[in-house]
Amino acid sequence: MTWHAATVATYVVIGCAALLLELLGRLGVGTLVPLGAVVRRGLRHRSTQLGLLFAWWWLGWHFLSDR
Amino acid sequence: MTTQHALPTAGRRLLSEPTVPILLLAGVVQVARRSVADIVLFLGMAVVVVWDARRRIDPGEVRPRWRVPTGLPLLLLATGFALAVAIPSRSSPWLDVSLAMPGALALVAVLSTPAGPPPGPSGTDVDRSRGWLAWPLLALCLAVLELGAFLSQASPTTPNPDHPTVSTTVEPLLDGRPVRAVVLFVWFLTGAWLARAVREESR
Repeated sequence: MTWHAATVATYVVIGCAALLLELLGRLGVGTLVPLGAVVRRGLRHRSTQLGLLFAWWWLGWHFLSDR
Repeated sequence: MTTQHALPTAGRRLLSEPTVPILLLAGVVQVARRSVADIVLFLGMAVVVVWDARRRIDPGEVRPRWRVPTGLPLLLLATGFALAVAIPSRSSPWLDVSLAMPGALALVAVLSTPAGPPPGPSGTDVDRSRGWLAWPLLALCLAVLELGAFLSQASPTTPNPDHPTVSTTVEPLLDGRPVRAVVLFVWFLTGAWLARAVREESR
């Protein structure tokens, strides 16, 4: 396996782990919670509201625009 | 609450929350990337967050005056946006303007709605469990990997083929218009969900 493949595989593993966490959180396994619940908890803070809105916007711009 | 009384409280609160430190750290990374637009965006957003915390007024005086569409209107709006914005090339200024509009609208909407008082302890499931820590831990793993890939580059603008960053990895996929339209659709809906959640917190 090349280093390139290993790096990409690690990204895929992290993505799969996120999907698994979401699934387990929705099923109520252990103390895990879905991402939406964590985000909503964070949104009780004003600075997090602005920070998450900015993160959402920037991620879209960063990945979709070629600048 | 007057602005004068709010200043020390706002400063202490901001230091106890992760948003401003994360924005400043990300701004430093953008300096290393030599990306002027991103430096301005991250550091500018940190300034906006600090400014917003200092201008706190009585939250009982103002209610959110904006709404986020739901259901079919939202789906139609997201579909129209995705199809229209997927047409221009990724280097087109039109794409930048189109992407900037939803963000600017969301920012203005949120800033036009004064926040309530700082939250006290609550009894939600998220507060009671430590399971939520798995999410920031996963995000931290991704951030460390991304930072490692970036630091391994010969220069800030030259990707390392052995250790590509996430954006280097997914960029070829986003060159295709159908994939870009799907990503735009999901991105738009995510923003709408976020804005609606912010509005509900502000009521």
